[in-house]
Amino acid sequence: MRGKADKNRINIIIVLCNFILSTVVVYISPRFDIITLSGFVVVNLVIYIMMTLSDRRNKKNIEERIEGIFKLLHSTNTDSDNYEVIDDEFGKLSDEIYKIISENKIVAGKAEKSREVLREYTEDIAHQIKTPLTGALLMLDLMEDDPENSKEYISHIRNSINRLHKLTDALLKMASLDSGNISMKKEQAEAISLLEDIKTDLEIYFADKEIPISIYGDDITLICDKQWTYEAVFNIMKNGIEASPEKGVEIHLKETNIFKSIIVKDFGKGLSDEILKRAYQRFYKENPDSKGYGIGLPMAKSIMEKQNGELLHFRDKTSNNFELRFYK
Amino acid sequence: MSIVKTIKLTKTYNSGVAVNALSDVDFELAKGELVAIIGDSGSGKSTLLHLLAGVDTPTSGEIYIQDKNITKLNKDDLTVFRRRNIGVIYQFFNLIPNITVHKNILLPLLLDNKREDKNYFNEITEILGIRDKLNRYPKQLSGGEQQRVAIARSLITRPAIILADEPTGNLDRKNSEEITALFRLVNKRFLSTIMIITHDEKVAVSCDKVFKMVDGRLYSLEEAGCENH
Repeated sequence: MRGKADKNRINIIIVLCNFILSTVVVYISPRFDIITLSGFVVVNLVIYIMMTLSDRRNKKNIEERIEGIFKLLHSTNTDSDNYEVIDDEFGKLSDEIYKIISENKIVAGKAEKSREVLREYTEDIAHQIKTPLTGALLMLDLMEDDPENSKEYISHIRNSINRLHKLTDALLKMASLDSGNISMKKEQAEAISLLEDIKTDLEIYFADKEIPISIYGDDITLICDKQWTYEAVFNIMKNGIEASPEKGVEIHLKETNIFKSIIVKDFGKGLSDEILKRAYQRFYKENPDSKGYGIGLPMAKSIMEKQNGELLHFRDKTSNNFELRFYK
Repeated sequence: MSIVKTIKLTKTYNSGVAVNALSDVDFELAKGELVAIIGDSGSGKSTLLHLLAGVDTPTSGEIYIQDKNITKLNKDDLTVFRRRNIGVIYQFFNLIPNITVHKNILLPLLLDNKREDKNYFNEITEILGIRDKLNRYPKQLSGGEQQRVAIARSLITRPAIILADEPTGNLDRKNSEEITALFRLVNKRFLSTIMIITHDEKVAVSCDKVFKMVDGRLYSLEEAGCENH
């Protein structure tokens, strides 16, 4: 206990100094006698005892407080009833610990939840794979029974396999996004040229239809990962066109001091809150006949979140808006 | 676990005639949420904010902040608790005019005798875009910039919750849109829990959840405008 010895030594030095100084005073003073001297001795002794006692009390107090902090650190629940606000260093510390404990609790809760989500995904993926597989098996059975029409059955099987193929692609993309080990590049992209590219590809995607896509607003330069951003915008625009095939979609470009946005406006009947909530879940399809997998919207959302942005949705009277917002 | 929870919160003003500013408000806010409370003037929304911020005491009911029942604390304890756990942003910014922006931001720390975390300070000022204005005085800044300083000041103590009272009430359309976007950004980046009191629908729809205050009662608006699940 070096600290304790040090403290004692300091106390003794102080008392000694006091004693020497008092002796000097006594020496100079004409009223020097033994009573004055012993008076000083007594006073100094009293001071020494008082200092030692108060030191001991302080130390005990600090030990108790540290004990309390330790208890708090190891406790899992921040007990509300025993909570008191203390306006000193230890109070600051324990308040900070309270904050961190409650944050950790929330993190733990989230981890629990994500395990649940993972289980659901696995089930959904299995289901997605199973449907085309069952189809293909059925076709094989039919082929055995009825070899004459095998050409037709083969084309059905081919469709099923193609579907599985595309699903694997989509799953791989989603998985690489989830794993977090891909880093988003920071490239400069002109919004309008990006949108023009997407428009061309959408025209191919919807081969049979004429789709109106109009762009409003001044061109903006985005700092983003071109390929992933393309993926996100493509999915949102595709959804929009599927929702309002006649009127198509309007694209609005917007720039403020804080963010730049691509807003995709469609004129479909829009999503209800309930559906919207589920639309961000993977493999959820509002329209079961759609040929997608229900991966587009959640993927666009994670792409935006990965590159310091957000995917927002808002509705007004006649239209449905998805905003891809890039923070500067 | 909720960051803020109120149970049957009631506030009655009694000057001759008893007026219920708040009646039986049950309200809960989870960590990391960005919510708006919208309502006409006199609907009781400011009273709710004052009670949550601990500057006023309820007539009955309880308020839990981070599981602590703050209605049980005495006035001095409440002041300390507020300083450490609650950040407040006002309509008129409430910056101290004769000290620099830098000092204004650090003020809550100075009051609590805490040292600043340089990295955190830099991060906040970078995100809020006020890095180059630190040595100016509040008067030399525009309204939007002053409000950014106020946001930085509320963040510096890493409060459990940030309460904003009509933060865009004194700003034009463009600035108010920017401040609203900044609230979203701060909410996302620092996972701050933020409650905005406003009468501006545009501000409210940019939050994840919207509540409406009518005659001292709080209703959850299912039809929230802007969603981000």
